[in-house]
Amino acid sequence: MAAGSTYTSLATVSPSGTSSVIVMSSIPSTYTDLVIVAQYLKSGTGSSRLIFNNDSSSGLYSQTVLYANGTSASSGRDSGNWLFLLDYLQSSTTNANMAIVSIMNYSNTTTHKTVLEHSGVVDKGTVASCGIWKNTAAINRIDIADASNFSAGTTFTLYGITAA
Amino acid sequence: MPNTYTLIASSTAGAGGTTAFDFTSIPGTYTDLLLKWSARQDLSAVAASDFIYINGLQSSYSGRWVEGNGPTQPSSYSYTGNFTYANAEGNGANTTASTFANAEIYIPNYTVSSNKSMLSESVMENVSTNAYIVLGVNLWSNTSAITRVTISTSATNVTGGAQKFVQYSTAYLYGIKNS
Repeated sequence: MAAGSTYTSLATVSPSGTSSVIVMSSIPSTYTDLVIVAQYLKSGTGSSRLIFNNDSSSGLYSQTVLYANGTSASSGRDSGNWLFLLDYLQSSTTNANMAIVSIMNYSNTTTHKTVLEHSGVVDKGTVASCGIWKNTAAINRIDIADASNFSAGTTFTLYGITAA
Repeated sequence: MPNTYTLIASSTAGAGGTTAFDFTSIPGTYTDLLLKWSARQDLSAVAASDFIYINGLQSSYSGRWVEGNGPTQPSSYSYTGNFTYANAEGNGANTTASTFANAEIYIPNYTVSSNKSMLSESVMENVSTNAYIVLGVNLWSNTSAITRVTISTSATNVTGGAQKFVQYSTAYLYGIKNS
């Protein structure tokens, strides 16, 4: 990729330890794809949730997951009200959890929204997943929610990628 | 909003090959680093691991990964040791000719004074058998800012040993800013 051609930082959120929800709203529709880069510390275990356009009740999400803990690898599937980061393995409270999430064609209004995720933390293992939000609306808001607070040192950055 | 994805350095192995791709004097002006490489080793084996060293150091690395090779169920492994396994199953000399493994490792917040978490992905193709895909998470338990990243053919020597990356192997280091 040529220097500075198509990869633009849209927002960075760095919580201080008192928030369990990260909100990135008013996402412009002028890009082709979105990428979230997350490095996050938490006060509790459990998998963080990825929610589009504040829709956490429709049941329109599903996700297929390959997860591995350093000893064995397995696959699983979820359907429900959100997608997960670090699904099945859950998060660490001792090391920084990390995830890279790609959301393709997020602004079109004709197709369901598909997601690729690679996440991991060294004391738990690594996860690769594909997910879908079965909604044709353009994505203009992303929430990352958890049952516990995100600790200081956490960063969530949203990038927009332009195809042309 | 500024563009944020910048090529810091690149390297291509010449006719004699190279024992390592060594990126030094990495500036601290970015938020994250992304290292991408396409490489093949002259090791007489199917799978040839690529080893990552940070700041020229050989301690405090750990990781876990999953790998699949097609015909068998995926396997998972872990390690602690003197290097980071970002491409555990690269192309060795006994794979299909002119076939190079592709790999990348993403290092967020590389200047921050905390341990460094990383995600890695790699693929190796081989027309006959034993092709691999590997996804991993890695940790360097050191709070120093990263100023040097080395992709080596050696598990014991930062700048490589007897094996080489063959001609046309390439490596690229990108810096990514979040503001």
